[in-house]
Amino acid sequence: MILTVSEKILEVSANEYIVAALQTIYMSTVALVIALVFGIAIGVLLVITNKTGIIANKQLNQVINVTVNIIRSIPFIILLTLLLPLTRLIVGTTIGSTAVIIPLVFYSVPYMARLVEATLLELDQGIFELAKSYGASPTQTIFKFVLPEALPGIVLNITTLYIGLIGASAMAGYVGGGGIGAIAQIRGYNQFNTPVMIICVVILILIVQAVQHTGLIINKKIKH
Amino acid sequence: MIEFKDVNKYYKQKDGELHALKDINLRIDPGEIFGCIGFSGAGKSTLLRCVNGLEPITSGSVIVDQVDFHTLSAVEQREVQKDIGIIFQQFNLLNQKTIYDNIKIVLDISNYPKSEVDARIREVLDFVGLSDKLNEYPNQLSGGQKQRVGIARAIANKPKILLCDEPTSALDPITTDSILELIKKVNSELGITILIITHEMEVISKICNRVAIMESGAIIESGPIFDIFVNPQRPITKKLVNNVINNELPQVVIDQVSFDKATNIRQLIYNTDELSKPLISYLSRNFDVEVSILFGSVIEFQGKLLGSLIVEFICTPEVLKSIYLELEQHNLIVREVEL
Repeated sequence: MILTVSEKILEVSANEYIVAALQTIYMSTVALVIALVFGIAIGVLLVITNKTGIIANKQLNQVINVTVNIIRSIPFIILLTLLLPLTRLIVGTTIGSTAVIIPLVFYSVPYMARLVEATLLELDQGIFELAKSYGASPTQTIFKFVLPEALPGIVLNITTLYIGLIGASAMAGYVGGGGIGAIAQIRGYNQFNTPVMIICVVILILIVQAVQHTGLIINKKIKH
Repeated sequence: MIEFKDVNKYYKQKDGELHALKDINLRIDPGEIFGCIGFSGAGKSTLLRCVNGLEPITSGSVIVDQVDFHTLSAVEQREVQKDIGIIFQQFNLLNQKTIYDNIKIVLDISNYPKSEVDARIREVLDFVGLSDKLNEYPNQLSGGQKQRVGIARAIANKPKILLCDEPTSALDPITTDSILELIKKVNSELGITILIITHEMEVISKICNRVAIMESGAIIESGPIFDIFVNPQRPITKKLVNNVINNELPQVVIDQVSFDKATNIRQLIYNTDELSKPLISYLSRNFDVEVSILFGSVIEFQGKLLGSLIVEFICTPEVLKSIYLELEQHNLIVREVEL
């Protein structure tokens, strides 16, 4: 049976796209929020424990460095299956959007840590000197001086990470996680339904554009 | 107020150690403006950074307001640091905070009485003449204004000491003068002791009471600036002094002076007191001598004038001797000139 283009498009209903888009946003957003907390913390640790940092600690720095590199080296598709036992332990199941959040967090924490590290190293290092000169404790240095100054950069980091997460979450289909990516793959690619695949890609492009645009606007708004 | 006792500092480097500070002994009295000058790499910045613990020292001690700073724990050091203001060459303002918040942050850390914070911020901004910039951000300000904010921030917590690390090196000459005036005002009106690091002798001449000259980690000469300017000893000091007051004959002049006349060429150094006396005409009227002025300069520092004249006396050796005696009675310094 050969279907026309319009028939092919009708294979997937508008409602299904909406549900899938919401799943994509749900997976990415929850993972993002968790990754922000840990990613920023680890990024800050990378900077303050390095050899010119305010609490220089070679061993700790190397442990974090190597761990971050190892996790970042694992392709997301492998991470998805590798973490199945852990996912079952935490979520109770390995199927569904919530289950995919675990590997997404593992994927994004080290990613965010590196982005934040780069942002902090880009800052004028005079900030650390200033804080120390005026008797700020390490905690005050980070929370009162460094992070507020880095905020516009971190907003852009979040934008980049969010887009990375949307991309990675498209692979959720492999473990039954749903989302736009799953439709593109299962209903589009596997069933030779090119129009559906294209629609999925367009939806992803729109989401990415919206995220990037919002990130830039916020950055411009808060940057002085 | 600040005292260095046998301070040494080594930096570890790939190929051994760098002796950054060598046996530094230095005393900065309460209420004075002390300058420290040297070329880059002389160790002057390191010296300043040892006062507030930005750099640890290897041996010796730095006494800051009667406390041996480097024997304190990190937490105790922070308490002392809160009483030491510092301004930087690159200002180090927080770009994401308003001018108001840039000053507030220092007061917050210092546990300044909360109810007085607002009034204090307005007071110090008024002192530096930036009351109208309260809600602006650093990037909206000029370099000179940024340094004014730096000074306002530095004095906000009412410190006893203000450290100035090349405060005018990023500024143009006119702005430099206004910032130096402001630093002077901090000293005279608030009684804050000031240590200023610079590579410009002009900065020293304009505001310092005493100066130390540093070269490769050691203090090679120090004293009241008038003495240093009148009588520099070391080659580097002479070079630095010559940047402000020219004591050396230019080649053009040397070329025109014949060798046998050299014995009659002298440098006369005089200060404000002698300025009102018509000395040259007095000499030619009372001695059998003609005076030819070869070269000269006068500089002003801190309300005093210091002049240097290089003159040729055309007369007999006997007359010359009596002229020297006469000049010395008038407190002029007469010095031979190297050609």
